[in-house]
Amino acid sequence: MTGGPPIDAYLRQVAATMPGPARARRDILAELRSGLLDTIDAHRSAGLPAGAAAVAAITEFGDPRQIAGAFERAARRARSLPSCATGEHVTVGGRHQARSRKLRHTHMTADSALGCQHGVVGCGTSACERRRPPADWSR
Amino acid sequence: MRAETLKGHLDGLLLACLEAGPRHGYAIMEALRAGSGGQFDLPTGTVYPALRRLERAGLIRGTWSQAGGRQRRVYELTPAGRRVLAAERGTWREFSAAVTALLEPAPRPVTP
Repeated sequence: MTGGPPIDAYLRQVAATMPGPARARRDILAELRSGLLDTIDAHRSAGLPAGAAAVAAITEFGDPRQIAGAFERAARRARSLPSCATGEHVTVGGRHQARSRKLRHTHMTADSALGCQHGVVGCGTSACERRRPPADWSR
Repeated sequence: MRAETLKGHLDGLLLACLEAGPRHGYAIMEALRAGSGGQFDLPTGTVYPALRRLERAGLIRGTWSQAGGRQRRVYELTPAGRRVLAAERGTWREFSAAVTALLEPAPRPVTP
């Protein structure tokens, strides 16, 4: 089940305004298709016929350009902000840089799975101490 | 309620929607709608960029599973996501208590 022509057309519109590498785009479109099909299922369970359910799902998903734009912003944010969850930026007593002034702090832990989310939901872990940023955080 | 009002809270709310167990994107959106009494009614499509961001941040994990004759993407909290959710909850309690204390009029003494 792929959702039929209306879903294909909708996803083409999302793809048309979505920048980024082809592979990432393919993953995103597969994820969106899965979501659209879930939405169609929900509408069909509520009694709508297939065609109307597809139209309702597309309407509910929203403007394709808006979605493409949101994916782009999400990717940009992921690029510009380091994430502790990768382990890349965490060392014992090591420093962790974030561009958001509000979230500047030093990590004092080696736990690479802390999930410190600069610019996402804030670093709220108790292992993460907020302190005065050192001079090299002036950028 | 407009999407901008939710800005800054959506990530925490999405994590909360996954606290009880794995869900697919549409079910997350439904949980957001139902849980807010219909106040948070965002275009369903906008949840996916947010989920992707949370996934890249290591707070949730998305996996493909085979269900109903097709591939389905299901999301679940990671241990890191659980920790961040708990921290978000604490921060929100403090913040909302402070805002309520300031915005709500102080009770007036009852005069006969």
